[in-house]
Amino acid sequence: MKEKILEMLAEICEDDVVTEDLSIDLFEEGLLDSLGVAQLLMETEDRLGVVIGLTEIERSDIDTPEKIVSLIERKAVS
Amino acid sequence: MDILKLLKEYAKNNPEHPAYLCGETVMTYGELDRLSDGIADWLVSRFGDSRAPVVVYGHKQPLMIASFLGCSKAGKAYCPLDISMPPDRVDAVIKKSGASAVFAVEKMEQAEKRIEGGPPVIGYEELSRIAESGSARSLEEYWLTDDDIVYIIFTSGSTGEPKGVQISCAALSGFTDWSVNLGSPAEKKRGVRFLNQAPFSFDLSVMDLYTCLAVGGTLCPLTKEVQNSYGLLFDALKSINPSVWVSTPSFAELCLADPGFQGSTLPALRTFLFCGERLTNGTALKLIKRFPDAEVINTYGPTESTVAVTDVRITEELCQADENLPVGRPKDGCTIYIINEAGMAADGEPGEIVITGSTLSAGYLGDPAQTERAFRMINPPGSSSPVRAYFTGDEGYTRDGMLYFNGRLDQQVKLHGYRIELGDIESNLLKIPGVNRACVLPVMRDGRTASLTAAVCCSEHVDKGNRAAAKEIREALRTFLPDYMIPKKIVFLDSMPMTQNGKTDRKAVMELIR
Repeated sequence: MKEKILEMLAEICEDDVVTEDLSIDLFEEGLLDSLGVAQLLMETEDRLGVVIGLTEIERSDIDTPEKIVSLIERKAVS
Repeated sequence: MDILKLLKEYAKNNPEHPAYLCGETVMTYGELDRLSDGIADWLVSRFGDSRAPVVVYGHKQPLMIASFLGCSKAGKAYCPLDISMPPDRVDAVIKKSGASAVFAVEKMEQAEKRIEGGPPVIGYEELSRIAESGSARSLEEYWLTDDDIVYIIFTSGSTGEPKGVQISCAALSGFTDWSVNLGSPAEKKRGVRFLNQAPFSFDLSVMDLYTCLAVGGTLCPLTKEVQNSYGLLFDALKSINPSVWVSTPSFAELCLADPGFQGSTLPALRTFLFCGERLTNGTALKLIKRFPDAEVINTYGPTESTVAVTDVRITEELCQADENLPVGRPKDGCTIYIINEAGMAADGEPGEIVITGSTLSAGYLGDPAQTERAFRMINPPGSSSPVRAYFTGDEGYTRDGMLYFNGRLDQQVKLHGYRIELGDIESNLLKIPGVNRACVLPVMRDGRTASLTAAVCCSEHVDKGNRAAAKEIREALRTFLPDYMIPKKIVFLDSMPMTQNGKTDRKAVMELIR
């Protein structure tokens, strides 16, 4: 699961650094913006079958690869 | 000017109806008419019948709209600038526009510096006082008419200097006569709420602002702050509950990421109007499914022909029939030609999209060379005399009168609806110390630009490949360019691939950065 999530994130961010540095600040580094987040959630639903609404999350929940992995993993079991 | 006549009529018959609604802030038609009169009164007293334009800088405040209309009532063109534009670029535009005054509705950085030798900068408080204290004298003799320029919108220019597209009253009227009937007849839009997503410096906003004012509707803008927070955004959308939605397709895609974005939560929604970039089949299909009571209208047009000139209702059948959704049929008074090396292209044959008709721009402000290059006389078949035409630089084709858009013939891209000349970013990258060569390329996804990557060659002392160095370049670029023009990724190259005639080999660079 974790690998799939990171692979997907790397595609969206167009940078493999997100699979290497899991605590990198995605917004600060310009890797993710609001449209990127929308894309992330849609791909999460399409590829992993995990539904997360935009309104359920705040920026601070998804500002690092680490947090994104744990959010999706948490949602997948609930 | 038609829109001013309508404003007086709405203000007289329905003064309490809101013209503008944003969060808790409301401005009624009565107030809009009075405040714009106040601003016009001041402009006339101060500058008489001078034709110099007025720069209006700010974001989504009600005073922005009152200023626009105030300028029209005083017989002056306005030039809208959004807060996303950095100070250096704001300066360049003020200078190039030859403005008589600058209305800083939002606090402007370095405003004091600008006053020296430049036009006076009127801040928010002073402008409010001016708007409130105008006399009630009639200024109708000063109102803009037909060929007068109503607004000048600056777009990205390939040399790094923004160029000002001048739109006349007649062109704007020609546009609104058509836009009020998009998706549904104008009578059905009387007094309804219009969503405004785009900043006023982007001509997509003309589609919501003037269509809304023409039908006596309420303009409901989403501020940058709201658009950047999902929580705030969806609350705002629900409370606005618009009837007419005007946005870029990208923005609708962002909203579609939430399952709650559907007909039952926005029950008043009847019309989606899209412009500014390619609308994909996937997005259109999702909207049709989630909003069964709304029509999805795709439109096409460059700023140089006043927002949009074609429209088509997108249906499920169309989405299934065509990989590339059509952008529509030309509106009345507009004829579109497809021209390639061989002359007029046959049905289905690709070529440059060339637009003629009543809504063409008067040309670029203070730039006769660029104007002559883009606006030329053509001799269409069956026409006895030459007609003025705008060569869009867009490639497309028609099939049974329906226009399809393929892409650009040059280095211009549309990113999330924003029109960007890659050369503009390249020129500005070269202003950064240590950057010797630059090539900016679009990263494509679903036939559309998803982001920008810059390849740069730097002096020895720049630590190549270092994330911090990339970040520094992006930060430095922010002093020259708005956020949406900053490349997402910076790639460092030892040398820039060149073609035989000494130009950057863009294809080779594309291969290198892949």
